[in-house]
Amino acid sequence: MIETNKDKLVKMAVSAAVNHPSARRGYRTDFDGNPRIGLGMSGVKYNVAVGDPTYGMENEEHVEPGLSISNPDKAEGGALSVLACIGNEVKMTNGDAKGSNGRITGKHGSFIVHFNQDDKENIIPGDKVLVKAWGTGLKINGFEETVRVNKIDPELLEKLGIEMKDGKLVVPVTGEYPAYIMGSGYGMWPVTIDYDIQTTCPEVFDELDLKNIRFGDVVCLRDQLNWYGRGYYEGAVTIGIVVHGWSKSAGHGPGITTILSSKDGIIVPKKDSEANIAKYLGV
Amino acid sequence: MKQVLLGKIAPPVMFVQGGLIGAYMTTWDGKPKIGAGVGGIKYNVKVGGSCYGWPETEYLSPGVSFLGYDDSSDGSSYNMKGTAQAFVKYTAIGTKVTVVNGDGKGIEGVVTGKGGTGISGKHVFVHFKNDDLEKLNIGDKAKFQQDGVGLEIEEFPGKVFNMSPSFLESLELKLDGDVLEIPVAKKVPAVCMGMGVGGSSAESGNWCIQTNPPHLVEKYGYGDLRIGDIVACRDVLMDYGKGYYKEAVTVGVVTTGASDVAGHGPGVMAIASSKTGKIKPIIDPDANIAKYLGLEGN
Repeated sequence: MIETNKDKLVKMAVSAAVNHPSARRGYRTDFDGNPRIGLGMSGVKYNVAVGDPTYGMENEEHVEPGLSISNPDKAEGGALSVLACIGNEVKMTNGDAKGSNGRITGKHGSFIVHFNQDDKENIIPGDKVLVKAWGTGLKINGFEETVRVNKIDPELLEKLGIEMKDGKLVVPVTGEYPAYIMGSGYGMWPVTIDYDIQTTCPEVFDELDLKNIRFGDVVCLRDQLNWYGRGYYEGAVTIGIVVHGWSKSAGHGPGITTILSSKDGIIVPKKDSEANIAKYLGV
Repeated sequence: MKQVLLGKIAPPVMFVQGGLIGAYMTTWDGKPKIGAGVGGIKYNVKVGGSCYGWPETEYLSPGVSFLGYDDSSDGSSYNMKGTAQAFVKYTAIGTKVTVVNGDGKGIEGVVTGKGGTGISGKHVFVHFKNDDLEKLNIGDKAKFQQDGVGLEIEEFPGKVFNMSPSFLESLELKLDGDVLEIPVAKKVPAVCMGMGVGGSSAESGNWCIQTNPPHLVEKYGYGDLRIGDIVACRDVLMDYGKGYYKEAVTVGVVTTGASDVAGHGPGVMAIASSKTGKIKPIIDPDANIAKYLGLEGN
């Protein structure tokens, strides 16, 4: 069992609203030159939830399971983007679902939120939500300088089944992915955006078992360092959570919000096909 | 089809990281950095020069950077107007440029590349002679004689982009059956490629060769990379977008300088790609567009 500095972290309210799907006229071109309509970002998805497969819906394009929330005000949206973490509590503050609770399950452009099916039926785009943002500054005792923690609720981190062994952190993951397959979002800031496991080269679908990735899976990215930015570092290990679904746009695919990153083998992944935050959050 | 595009000389733009305008950017190893180098008129940075060794710069562009004539330096390449998109996507290496107003009216230059992510994605880079650079000012306009869109190589099953016919001919490429042989200064594996993956179609935007951490640069031997170098990227496909594709080869031109931001580095702009590996790169340390465009020494 790990211990953290969670008692020293400020917990504060940030506001957002359930957003609406957006679309432009005209087809987008997929990686192979085929025109198509893609869908799945923003809004309320009644039949896709954390724990479900990321692959297999028709016309899927970065499907975000459950609800998507954002704050269009530039400054407030920035605060939401930086401060809210996966696992944080979300509360509806108006509308027919007022008072119901959910949990953040990912950060794409929008935050992705899980609510129970009954509550989802009562939620519409525009409904206001409050996020209890908590997790910025989180550190694991004994690993303050060697493991960077990012965008994870302290109590969810404790539920990931992480073990300390021989000065290392053993983390259960569903799979491991090599550096070359990491796509869109590469080079960007881990605090505010995910990056994708590319699903646009059919030759490696089976080799890397990409079709079995689920929303909420805890995964390992090899030779990837997510500290001050996001890039290659030989021997580094990054742990992340799968937040959105497949894509046919070149260089895109299921998105990973990164939560732990270290150089030099401090983090050791351990295969566990059930390592999914739907289980850890009990949803 | 040949037509005229109109551009104006872009002002220098400060690197914007995470929307923090005016703040220092942060390097891969946690150091603050100014990050100058995007936009403007560079008197001493030219195609053929090193990607490295320019203090406090990021995405350093050679020569003179142009924007579409009615574009602004705000925002990013994600929300460009149609006119600005036409300016960026239709220009090509070798496109002839003529200044149409100001003290430099009538002087001629040539396009050497385009920018990459963020604001630099709106920019097209132009080489002028040293004496002519002194006559130019920010905001001056120039006409660009577009002649490269739709270019194809007969019998080659892949695609070519971002080249004027005259530049393509200067490369003196050979076809071995349906395999295109292209001289390149470096071969770069997919694992070295960073920011830019998932980006737009090959006619605009770049895909970075990561220039950090140092052990990566050393391992794959591109510490002597120059702006303008022609490089072959393995298992990398730039055509309808930018992504990993096993066995694909994309040949591109290094258009900007190095970066210290994690996952970033000199931008590669595609000039030819084959999804089925029908490109044979041939190593030639002198494969730099400054040579083919005849820009060396001026």
